[in-house]
Amino acid sequence: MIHVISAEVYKLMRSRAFSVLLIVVFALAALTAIGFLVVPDDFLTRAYGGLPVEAGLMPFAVLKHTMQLMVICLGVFAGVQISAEFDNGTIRNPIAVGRRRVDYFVGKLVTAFIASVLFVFTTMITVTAIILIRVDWITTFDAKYVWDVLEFGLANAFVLLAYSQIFAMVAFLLRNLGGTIGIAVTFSILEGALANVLVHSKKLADYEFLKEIIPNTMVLRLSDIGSRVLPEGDYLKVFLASVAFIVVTGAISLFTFYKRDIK
Amino acid sequence: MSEFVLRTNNLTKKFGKNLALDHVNMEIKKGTIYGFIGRNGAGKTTLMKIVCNLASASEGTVELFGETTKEGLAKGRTRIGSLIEMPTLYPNLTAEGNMEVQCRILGLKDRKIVTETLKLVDLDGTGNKKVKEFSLGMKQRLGMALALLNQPEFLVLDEPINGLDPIGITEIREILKKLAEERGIAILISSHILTEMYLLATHYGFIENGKLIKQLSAEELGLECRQYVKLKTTNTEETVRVLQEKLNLTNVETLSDDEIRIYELTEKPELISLALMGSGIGIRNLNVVTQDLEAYFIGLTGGYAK
Repeated sequence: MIHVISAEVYKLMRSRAFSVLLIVVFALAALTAIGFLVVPDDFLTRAYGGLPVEAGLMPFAVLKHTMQLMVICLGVFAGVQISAEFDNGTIRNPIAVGRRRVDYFVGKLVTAFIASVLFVFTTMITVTAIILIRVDWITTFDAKYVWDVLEFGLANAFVLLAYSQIFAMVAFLLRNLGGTIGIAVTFSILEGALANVLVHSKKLADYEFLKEIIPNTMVLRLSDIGSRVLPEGDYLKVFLASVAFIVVTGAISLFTFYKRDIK
Repeated sequence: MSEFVLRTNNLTKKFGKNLALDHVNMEIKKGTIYGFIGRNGAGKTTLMKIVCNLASASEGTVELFGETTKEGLAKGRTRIGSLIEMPTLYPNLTAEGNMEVQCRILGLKDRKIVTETLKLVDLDGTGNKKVKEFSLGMKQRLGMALALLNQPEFLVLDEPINGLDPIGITEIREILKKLAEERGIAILISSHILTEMYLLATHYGFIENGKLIKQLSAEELGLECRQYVKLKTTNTEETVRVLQEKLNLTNVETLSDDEIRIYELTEKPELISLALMGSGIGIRNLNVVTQDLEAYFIGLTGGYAK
């Protein structure tokens, strides 16, 4: 298994598509952070329903705002990483030399995790670097803050990984690059639109049982789970929810991949 | 230790109602070059894919290096190099990059093998050129290099000389011959260029509609490939009559208006011209022909039209 993972990581590090996606994530984080810097504080506070947005919370806020795009990026990533291998036949290389299909699947999962971590921390580091323009680092530095960023980032990376497995599943099912990317983008847009409807639905928001289950209907969006749990700091739930998601989608992916012939 | 690198036992593959492979029993010994010949869609690639675990068999078993268990087959496949249908390459990586990925998959530590293998297929000078900029022939060579990277004991090659120029074809042929002779590698190779197969293979297997209809060695093929006298005259009907009357020939075949094939007297064709002298029949052409692999294959599978 370790050999296949090593090969997958090597390919990831030399993937032009991945570099482009990383640049897109960086650019979006920088633009959002700069946007936050130039927008007057009272506007931001209004946008956040009266909650004051401090500079130190910006990495968290920006991450929450850019999660949707990162999800799309991971859809493209799944297409490039998995479907393209079926398209150009390179999927055969490990299988034909006796490597197990499950090894290949785990290799792809590891690279998706690396991608998720890099996407999340690229965003958070970029935003932190930009807010330093406004905040005096030396006087405000707090080690706990760094730990919070790390913890929050990892939680979100896990959520992104879980999310990406929907697209990995689509990639294993479709085995077609264009189809996977198309479904990823469409799915993300539809999911975003649905979440917006739910958020703005007064009727839904008034349901007591919903308030109990989820403090905010935004939680219905998987991409928001990580950022939502921040105040409670209940990262274990995030981790377990992500693992459960990965297990379910992974089982479907492996089921479709395990016995099917490779063209 | 089994003397066979590959044995299939009643190997069958169904695609819906279609039988792609029909109870195929194939045997390939160590050090042999097995030419696998058949029409498009006859089942060659399907069999190769099953051997390489890229497709599953509907019935029957595969035995690799004497092993038939799941673990044994997986272990056996680490001793196989394959190139099936097309070279499977990462277009955005260089030749060395592609080799590096395969080295990691195989768990190879010594990178000297990369340089040596690339040199063997004449791709050692490609530098930073990405595979997407390679010609078809270069890609084919790189595919061969990937197949050879693990120093396999058994090579499975499906149309490996596709897209190669005549010099490239000769080079690949020499490499394969050398590998079989020096390292004792067994090779299962399919190609539609039958003249190449004739020059390369030591054994042949003919497949038609999923059925392995014949397996034989190059020596046996030589014996089965008949010699005949090809004769072109001004009057075929009269020629046949004269030859039957004067030489008592019975094994004569009239192919077209002016061509006759005589499957006798191949050692003494001059007797034919002597017999026709004074009969008023003009001889346009007379020569002894040895039936080649192509003719043998056509004869075996029942002609062109199917």
